[in-house]
Amino acid sequence: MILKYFARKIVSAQKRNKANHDSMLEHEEIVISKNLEQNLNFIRLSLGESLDLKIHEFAFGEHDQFLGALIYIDGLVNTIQITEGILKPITSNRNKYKSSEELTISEIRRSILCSGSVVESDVFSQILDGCLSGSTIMILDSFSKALIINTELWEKRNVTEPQTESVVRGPREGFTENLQTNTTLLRRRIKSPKLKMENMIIGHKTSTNICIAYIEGVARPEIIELLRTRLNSINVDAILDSGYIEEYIEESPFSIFSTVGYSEKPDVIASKILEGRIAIISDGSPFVLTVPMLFIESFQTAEDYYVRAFYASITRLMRIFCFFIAVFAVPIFIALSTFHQELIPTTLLFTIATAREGTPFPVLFEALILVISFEILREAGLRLPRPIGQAISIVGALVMGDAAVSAGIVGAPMVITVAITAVAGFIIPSQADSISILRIIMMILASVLGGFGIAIGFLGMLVQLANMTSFGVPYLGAVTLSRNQQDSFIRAPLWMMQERPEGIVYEDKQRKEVFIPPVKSDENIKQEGKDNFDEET
Amino acid sequence: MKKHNRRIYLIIILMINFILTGCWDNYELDTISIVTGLGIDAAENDDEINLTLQVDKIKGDTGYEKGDIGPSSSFLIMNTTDKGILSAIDKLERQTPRSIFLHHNQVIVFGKEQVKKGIKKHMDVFIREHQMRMETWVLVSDGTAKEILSTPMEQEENSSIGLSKMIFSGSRDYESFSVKLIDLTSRLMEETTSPVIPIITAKNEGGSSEVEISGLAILKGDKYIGELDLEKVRGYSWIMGNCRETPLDINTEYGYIDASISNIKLKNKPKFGADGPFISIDFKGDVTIREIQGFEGMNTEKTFAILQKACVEQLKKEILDCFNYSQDLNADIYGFGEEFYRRYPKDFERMKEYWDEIYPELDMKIEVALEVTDTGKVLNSLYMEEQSDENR
Repeated sequence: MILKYFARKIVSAQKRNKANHDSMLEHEEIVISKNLEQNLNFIRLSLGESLDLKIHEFAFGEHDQFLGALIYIDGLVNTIQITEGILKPITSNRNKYKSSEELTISEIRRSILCSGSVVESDVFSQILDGCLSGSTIMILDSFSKALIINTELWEKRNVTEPQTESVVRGPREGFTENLQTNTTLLRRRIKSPKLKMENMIIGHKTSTNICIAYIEGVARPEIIELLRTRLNSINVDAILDSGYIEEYIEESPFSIFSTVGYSEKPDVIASKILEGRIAIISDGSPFVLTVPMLFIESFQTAEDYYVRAFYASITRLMRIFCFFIAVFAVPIFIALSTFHQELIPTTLLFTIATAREGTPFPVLFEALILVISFEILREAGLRLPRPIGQAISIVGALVMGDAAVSAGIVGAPMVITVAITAVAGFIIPSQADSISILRIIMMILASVLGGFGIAIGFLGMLVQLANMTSFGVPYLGAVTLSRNQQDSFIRAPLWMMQERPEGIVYEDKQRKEVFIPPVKSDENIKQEGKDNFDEET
Repeated sequence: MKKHNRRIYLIIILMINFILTGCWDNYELDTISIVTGLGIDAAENDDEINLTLQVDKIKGDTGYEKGDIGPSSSFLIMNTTDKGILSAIDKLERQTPRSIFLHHNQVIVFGKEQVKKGIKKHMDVFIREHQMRMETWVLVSDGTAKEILSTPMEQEENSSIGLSKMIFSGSRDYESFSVKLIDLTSRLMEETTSPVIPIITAKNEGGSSEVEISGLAILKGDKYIGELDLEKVRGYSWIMGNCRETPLDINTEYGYIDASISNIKLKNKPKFGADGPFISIDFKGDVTIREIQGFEGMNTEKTFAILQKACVEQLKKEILDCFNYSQDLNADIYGFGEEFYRRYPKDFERMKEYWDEIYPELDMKIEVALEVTDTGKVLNSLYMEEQSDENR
């Protein structure tokens, strides 16, 4: 309720801001003039004397009587293409342009060798946008139009194996920071004309290209529309990563659970799109978002679908179990050792009591020391360069695991509990953040109210989860009993999953036509073969 | 705006409610003394009892360097005299810095003197108090309960846990040894049955002391009247149907045989015959040979025939020995009265008053059928005649 209050306050503030922004943007478009020098001066003025702004003036025609200029940002363009494809055809062919009557913009446009698009424009804002996103601008003297020639070429990372989601079996490609590369990776997986990719530009200052991808007929139109409106209402100056978008479009901004999924792997995103979800690719980020996201998706990995169903189901059950360990192991330890000692087997109680004897702090404090120092170590290991990170983990392991116990600051059973908790938390990377927060909340509840507190915390967590939606789809969707059980706690064999998950998909529901185990058709063949054999003998 | 503010205050007040109640049930592990054994002895004054608590001594080590801890006495003995058990515990609590924690109590030991006086009035607290568990073992000490609880055990750090393990492994042979508080309570509630409780003896031999289970104490009502020694315990166990694989050693004129009897199928039926009520026992089982000494020069068939006959006789003897002994004491340790009640409820209503007179006169008819099924790894013993030779 507090959260809703804040949310409302923020919404009203946003409305006020939006009015200001709109008035700022609605200024009159400035049109290009016929004077080259004037145009160049305007560009210099608007872009400032930037180091990377290059203006190359040139003369051409039979007697070099025509003047022109190429404007581009160094580093964003392919300079070879500029000299070979633009300058060379125009300047070398001296006889082509004899008089000003023969020279037209379209004539020039035809003579340019360029793989990308060439657009005519006379508005400065378009020209500047083009220039800043890697095109070369050609302005000619005494023409009131400029050519925006696509010569984009900048340094980009190769398609490499993603660090966050490595697989043993399955494709090893990962998205890169380049939007075009990312859309290509998706297109290569889904070669259907129904795969639609809509472009959008968000951010006043960054003008980030955003692409939403979905399959028409599989994704629900109302969800697409909802996403569009939410994306359009984003009114900020900068989008630097898809994480920015996630925060602006999610439905429960104050929940600790994320309602927008993400992945770095094209195969994962493709499978989500095929299940009716919508992908949001943002330029400059290798993480592609998917909406709507269900809670159970946190426990699914790409590899679940590439290995056989039994093993996949077992590992998925183990992941769910690990979620509970990661959240509840330490709280249960606290509750048992301070409230419900009678529930611990006698000999184990002696062991725990022996370790507790002589430690100076209450159990909660002991647990907090370990959990927080673990979070510190994790953060340090993450931020530091890898070689130093290893040193940190050695120090951490020694200090926490050994020295703290032998110095009598904490008990050994607590170290073990926290350690298993920490390791279990890493098994579900997409919920790792919510797990850390939940764990501390539960620990405090357990130390105040014991098992009763854990029960209250768990109920609160369930209520929160059941109350959440992601783009109108219940967050706990597939966990409840429905056809989607095929791919929630267990992963049914692929041939069994003949329909796409309920609740997300629009019209095109069938994955395959009939429910036939693959073995049966084989048996038929065998049977037929056998019959033939019998006849022959 | 105001409405929202009120909501926020409400939530904060609710949250504070949770936290301000405080940890009223909270006991850190280093503030409790874990009781592992509880003993009740007769005090000088008839109204009072002498309570002994065995409390586990938690050593303040940090999980390291466990080697230098001395082997002896990892527990404390607390002792006091008071009228009731809980009042005695309260009294002890005032003497220690920690609060006494009874949930993990392993054994309840009654001193023999106290059992002779009767235990019924002290059973109430065990049933009523929520810290007492119904699956605690109950024992009777041959001497005093304190003596048993203060005897350290060789392999166990805590002698009560050792005791409970001992009873557990003992009950694998004779289930009669496993008497839990709940068993004792239900036996005490049956009107005609005499409860039995295992007896434990502390022996002091040359400095090292040890405890052992030495038999079963027989209670009439709630008072001690006699005991079954180990041999009679076996006779008792045969009929109680709680033998899984029980050894039986037989001395015949040809040699000594150690066998064990398994796969026991037992039917004991109370019946009314011409001479009045009697108990019919139908005993079937398989004999497994564990060891043969002697029987030199005899072939297997003959040996087995002798063995089978001897086993049947031995079994009958053991069963009857025990039964006759219980008749002498007039203590229905088998619960035959209850058995009659189940089968002939109306007739038993009349018999109940005279059960004490009927029981010593009760007849027992035993049918024993045994078969040798397993001879172990070999058929013959070294000295016995080879069967194959005879066939040749």
